[in-house]
Amino acid sequence: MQCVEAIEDSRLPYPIHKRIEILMTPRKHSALVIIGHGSTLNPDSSDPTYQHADTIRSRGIFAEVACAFWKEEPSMREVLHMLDSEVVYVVPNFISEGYFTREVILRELQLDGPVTQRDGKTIRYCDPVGIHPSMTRLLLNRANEVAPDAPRSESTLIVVGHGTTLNEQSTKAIKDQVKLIQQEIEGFAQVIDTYMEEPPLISDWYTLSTQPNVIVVPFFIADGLHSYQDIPVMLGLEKEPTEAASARSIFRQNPNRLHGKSLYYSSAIGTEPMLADVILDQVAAFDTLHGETAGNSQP
Amino acid sequence: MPTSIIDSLAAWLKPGTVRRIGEVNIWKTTSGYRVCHTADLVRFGPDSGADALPTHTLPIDARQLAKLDAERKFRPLKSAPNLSGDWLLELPSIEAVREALDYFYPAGIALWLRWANGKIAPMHLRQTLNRQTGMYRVTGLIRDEEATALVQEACAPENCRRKILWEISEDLPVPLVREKRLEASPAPGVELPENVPLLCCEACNILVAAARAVVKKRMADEAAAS
Ligand code: SF4
Repeated sequence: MQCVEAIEDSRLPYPIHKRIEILMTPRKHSALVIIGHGSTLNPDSSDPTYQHADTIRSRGIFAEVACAFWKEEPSMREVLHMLDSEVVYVVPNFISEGYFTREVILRELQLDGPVTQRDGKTIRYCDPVGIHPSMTRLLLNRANEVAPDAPRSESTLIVVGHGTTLNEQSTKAIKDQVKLIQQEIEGFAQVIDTYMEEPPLISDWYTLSTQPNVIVVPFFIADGLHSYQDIPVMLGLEKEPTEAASARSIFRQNPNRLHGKSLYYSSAIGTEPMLADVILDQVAAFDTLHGETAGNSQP
Repeated sequence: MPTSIIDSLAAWLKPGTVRRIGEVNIWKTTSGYRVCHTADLVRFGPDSGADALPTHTLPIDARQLAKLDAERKFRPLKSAPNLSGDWLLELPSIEAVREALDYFYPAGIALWLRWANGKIAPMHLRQTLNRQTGMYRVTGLIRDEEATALVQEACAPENCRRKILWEISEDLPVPLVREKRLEASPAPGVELPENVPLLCCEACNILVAAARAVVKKRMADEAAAS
């Protein structure tokens, strides 16, 4: 068993002590585009994507930083027109690889693969944030924030995802995280994955967990309807879905006493401010894998 | 001739002018730039006589101002003509103006510049619908008359300010009312006009989702009737 830093050190493509230096490397001739899902119904769905863009923009690493969304404006078809930079890094703010990252984004941005050259631009398509090794640190951070005093040796950590029988990839990112924490990180007596739409179901949390303290972290990009409304009902915290705004208090009631256990519920992992660094991690990982100038029209 | 978006914006906002895009006006001041709702120009504009205090000073404030309408309802379509007013945004730099305008009208300035320079070929509705997959694949089955009626209703000026540059298909034009037509042609090198028109170069996701509802309803009606 090791600490999270040691795990990251072995899985990151660069030494952990160099991480911040590498993430802060200026890319003054490049633009960054963060792709989010967005929503036509939920006004807060795009907030985390915008906030991570704000953080990265304020660091002055890129010449230009923009967001684009599947369901909001600017669309993926529009966003490249907004940029003057010749090199554009695209990072999907998605939790897993799957339909969106392998089909929709490629099609809408008219990409040929990891590196695409079009209209004088080189587009470098990075992996989605959710599959980066440093997500483990974010998960543990969330758990520490909501349940700082629950002894780990008497706690179950539950990572909850959407899950769907149509797309196995959507559960893979979560299973990978859970396996890693189970096998390599000291502390929690039990770590399990659960889903909203496939077994093991989050609604069975009290029979699945063996420990008196249960910490639930939603592996979602935004505090949308799932983490405000659906999961609280499935956990038994609410009788019926509540209004999005008032449901914010869901995250402030910890711990909740239910079924003889102390239940701690966190907000979605994607709202963690450190996710901005994971976006930059994916840019750095792309350059490590494909070379910093692969496909650039100019040196 | 400005070549970058930021240079084009700076040239557009020369001192002594009041520019407009959608429902916002922008002008240069001695210390930076000011932006207000078109309906508030008399109250806040450079000729108002009163030196009003700004209510907001950050580009990201524009994101919040553009998010909800006067009834606090979400505005998923930023080109809907329901931007609420009663604010005065003061920004320190042209970079901040660029960012703020992209929250009010995402890609609005850039699309006009690219289109005017002949860099955007509009995508006809059939092309957009035929490339959809997953839950939107069914939109490819929309009939010509359904598509025409849908565009006339969903994209009407009271719902969206964008000028439509596409047709239903190569040989089926959309019958557009005057407000939805762009009376201009690409002219490379041209500067941003005083009032920058919002362009729709390709159907938005809201229209694609509405097309799905039309097809689904017809299928359900047909199934019920058979
Ligand atoms: S398709 Fe274009 S014109 Fe119609 S509502 Fe969407 S953005 Fe507006």
